[in-house]
Amino acid sequence: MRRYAIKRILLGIVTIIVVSIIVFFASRLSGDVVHLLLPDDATKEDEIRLRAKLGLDKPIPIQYLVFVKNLTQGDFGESIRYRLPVVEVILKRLPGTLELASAAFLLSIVFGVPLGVISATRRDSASDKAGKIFALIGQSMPSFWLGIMAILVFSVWLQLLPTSGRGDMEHLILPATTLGWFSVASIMRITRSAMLDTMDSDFIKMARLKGNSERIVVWKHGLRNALIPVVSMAGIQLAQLLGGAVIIEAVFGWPGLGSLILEAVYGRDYTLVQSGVLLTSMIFISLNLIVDLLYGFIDPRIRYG
Amino acid sequence: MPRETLLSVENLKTYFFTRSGIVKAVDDVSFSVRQGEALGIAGESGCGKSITCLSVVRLVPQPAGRIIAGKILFQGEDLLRKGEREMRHWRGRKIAMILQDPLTSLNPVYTIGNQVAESFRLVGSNTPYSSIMEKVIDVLRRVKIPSAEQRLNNYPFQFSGGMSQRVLAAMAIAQEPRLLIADEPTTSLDVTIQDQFLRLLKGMQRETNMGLILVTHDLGIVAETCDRVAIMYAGRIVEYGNVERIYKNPAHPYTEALMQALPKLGSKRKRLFQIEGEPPNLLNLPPGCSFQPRCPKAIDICQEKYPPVAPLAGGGHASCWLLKKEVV
Amino acid sequence: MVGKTKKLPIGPIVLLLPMIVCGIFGQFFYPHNPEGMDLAISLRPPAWLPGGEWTNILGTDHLGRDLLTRLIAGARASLIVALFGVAIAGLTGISLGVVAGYFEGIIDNIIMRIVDSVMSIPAILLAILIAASLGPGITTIIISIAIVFWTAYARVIRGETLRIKQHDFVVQAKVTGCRSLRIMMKHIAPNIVATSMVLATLQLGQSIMVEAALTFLGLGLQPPASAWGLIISEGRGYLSTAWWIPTFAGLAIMMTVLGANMMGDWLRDALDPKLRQIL
Repeated sequence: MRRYAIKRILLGIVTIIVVSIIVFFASRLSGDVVHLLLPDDATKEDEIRLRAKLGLDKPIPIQYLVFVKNLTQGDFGESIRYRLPVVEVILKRLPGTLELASAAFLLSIVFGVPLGVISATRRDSASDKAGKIFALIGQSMPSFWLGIMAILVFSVWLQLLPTSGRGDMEHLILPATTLGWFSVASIMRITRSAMLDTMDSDFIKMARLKGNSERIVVWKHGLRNALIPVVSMAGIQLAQLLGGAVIIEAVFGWPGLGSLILEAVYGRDYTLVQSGVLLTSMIFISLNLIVDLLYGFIDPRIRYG
Repeated sequence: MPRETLLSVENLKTYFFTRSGIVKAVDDVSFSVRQGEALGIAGESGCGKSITCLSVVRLVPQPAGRIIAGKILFQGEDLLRKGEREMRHWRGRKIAMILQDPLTSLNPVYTIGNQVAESFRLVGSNTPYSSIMEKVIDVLRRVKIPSAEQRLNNYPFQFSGGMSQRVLAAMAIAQEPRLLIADEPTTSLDVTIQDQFLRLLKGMQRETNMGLILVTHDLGIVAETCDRVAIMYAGRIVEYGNVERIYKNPAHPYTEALMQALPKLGSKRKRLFQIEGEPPNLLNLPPGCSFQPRCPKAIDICQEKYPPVAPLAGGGHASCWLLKKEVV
Repeated sequence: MVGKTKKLPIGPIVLLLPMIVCGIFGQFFYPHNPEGMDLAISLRPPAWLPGGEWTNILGTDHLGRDLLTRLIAGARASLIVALFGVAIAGLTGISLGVVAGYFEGIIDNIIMRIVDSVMSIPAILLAILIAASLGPGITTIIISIAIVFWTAYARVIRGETLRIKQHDFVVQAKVTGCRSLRIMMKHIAPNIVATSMVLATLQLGQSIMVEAALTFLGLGLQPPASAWGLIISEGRGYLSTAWWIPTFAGLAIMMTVLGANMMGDWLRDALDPKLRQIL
């Protein structure tokens, strides 16, 4: 287990480094940002001065090293719009996204796993087919459209829930459900498929031969084995959720890291955009790492192998 | 030792209804097992031996498979008339079964101790944890698992094939069944381990007077371990009787062929004998006797009608036209 | 796969054909001018509702433009972006995947590290980042889609290459001294066509969704262009008064993506059901 853990952690670190390179260069695709920041009547001297001030006159590799050096010291730069350290701005908005993403994730597991188990045990029945159709349609809907439709039905027509903003549970329901909706379908699919595979195994037959009730066979013997691939998928879902949160935050006016990044894009605040994306990726990588380690823990073959 | 009849299977038919047709996996099969007795069910792969056993415990793969006729009398009661709930009660406790591949028969995510304890709990109800664990250690020792106490917390992947098979035997012992069905228990084991395991099974029989059904394709094992044997071919029993009589005097051509296929030390043969032809396609059985295409002694009527069951002088019966002298 | 495993993919074809026809030939049968504004008839409801007219079957938007026409016009943008984006992603991803799988070792490691890293950035964020640097527009979206989607190809095709490499005919080719490039092109490439096609079809759906999302966020096509994502974002402000605008545009997207997904599933089952495990 230890070897497995160390290998995973090292991989994670390497990935973060490569991500930082990608993000760094992606931000500079159309040349440096100076021309976006200067007012129209700026002179050449203004340009040179601004460039020097932002350190953009140095060769790119040097810029990257400076960037990394600052990162390791926790300095993600200063937001151009807010004139505050990026870290500060981000930390203020991060809880919003975390709240949204965790609520959505919880929903997807709480609904996805049991639905997947039930769908697997009632194979080929009407409810199974219904489940498959639901999953297929669910994955073909754009999330922002689903959000707007949800607002239309529940806020505008039924007047049950608020249309936007963050606050109490009422505000959380629609965004979290919309965000989690797509995960439910994926989790359900993978649980179903993992269960179907597992239930074919000899040890399941043995469990029945011993005289266990079908309920125990399915939920104790079957699910525990099927969980292994489901945990992996759950990790992937987290990435989707982090990304999907951006859109949901935009649709529902939910103040979080995603909407912050978008505002930064509209406002040409490139330091904030860059650091926001980098930070989100780092969160994703860490979450994946935790999932990997969890996976190693659940599967005794890795834990003791 | 008392020798009551434990299990009596009468005219069992288990068919599989598939898109390509009906597979008559078990077609009118009858046999019985007494207390303390070992019955072998022998035949090639696909002849229906495993499905017969699964039918006895009513775990035929669904929805394609269905038991459509017959009686399965266990200690006088017809299992086919029982509801699923009652069957569950009988499985494990009265009739236990060991599957072929020990490495996949154990749940990989639970410890050995946990799984053997489960067997105890299924028969013994609510004894406290510590006393169950004592029993677990005890039974693991009985099947000769070394360092049983330490091995409690091991996982199946840490066990070899032979040891896994013994754990399965331990789980069966724990439930103290009246009848144990072992489906090819030695096929995936080393020859040396095979012997040890069979002895273990025989030991269990002696201790508890339980009945044993041993399914195998190896007639050598049948000879060593069983009292009676049923030879199956294409879903039917073609010969049935005492092991001794069958070995000395095989009545059915298929049995003869199987005997010839057994390698004999000191034999002058250069090549191992192989039965000509291929195993039958259960979706497309030939009319008449199923063995006829490969039978060296086939006569005309063999292609027309399936031979009736003919009782034999030395006991038992066989299904072959050659035994019905009037017809010949 | 939904229910039946028919030989013909009727469902997907019914969904996709109209979209494809609209995308290619749409401009020949517009009911109205997609950019024709007429404020007098703005926010007109669909024909079957009170206030609606049959000249504007699906109603009009806030500028009086006919919704059905705009939807037909929007098909084109989505299809072009999806096709080009997926094509570029595919070519890049497949090449890198084959190279990685074929040579293994360090090359494989490097390529896979890059793939992992790109996949560690949530797709939308990466697309937003690229769109932010390059500025909005159709080319930007195509590039974004290519950059986001190539990784799936690389991974899957690499796996396939590794698997195919084991086969005898490849080993034989190596033994007889064929050059690597030739082996890759002649022996490995034909065998990955099936998988690539299935993946491409599945990705068409995904890329349309990404494109719609980016356009909705204002990073793609700009007004007054006709794009489904734009229609939805414009219609959002009129949700309480003109619900039909975002609703029908979204349905258009959904039909297309559903069709693509179903088509991909059908292709996968038709070509090689074993692919279910990786796709």
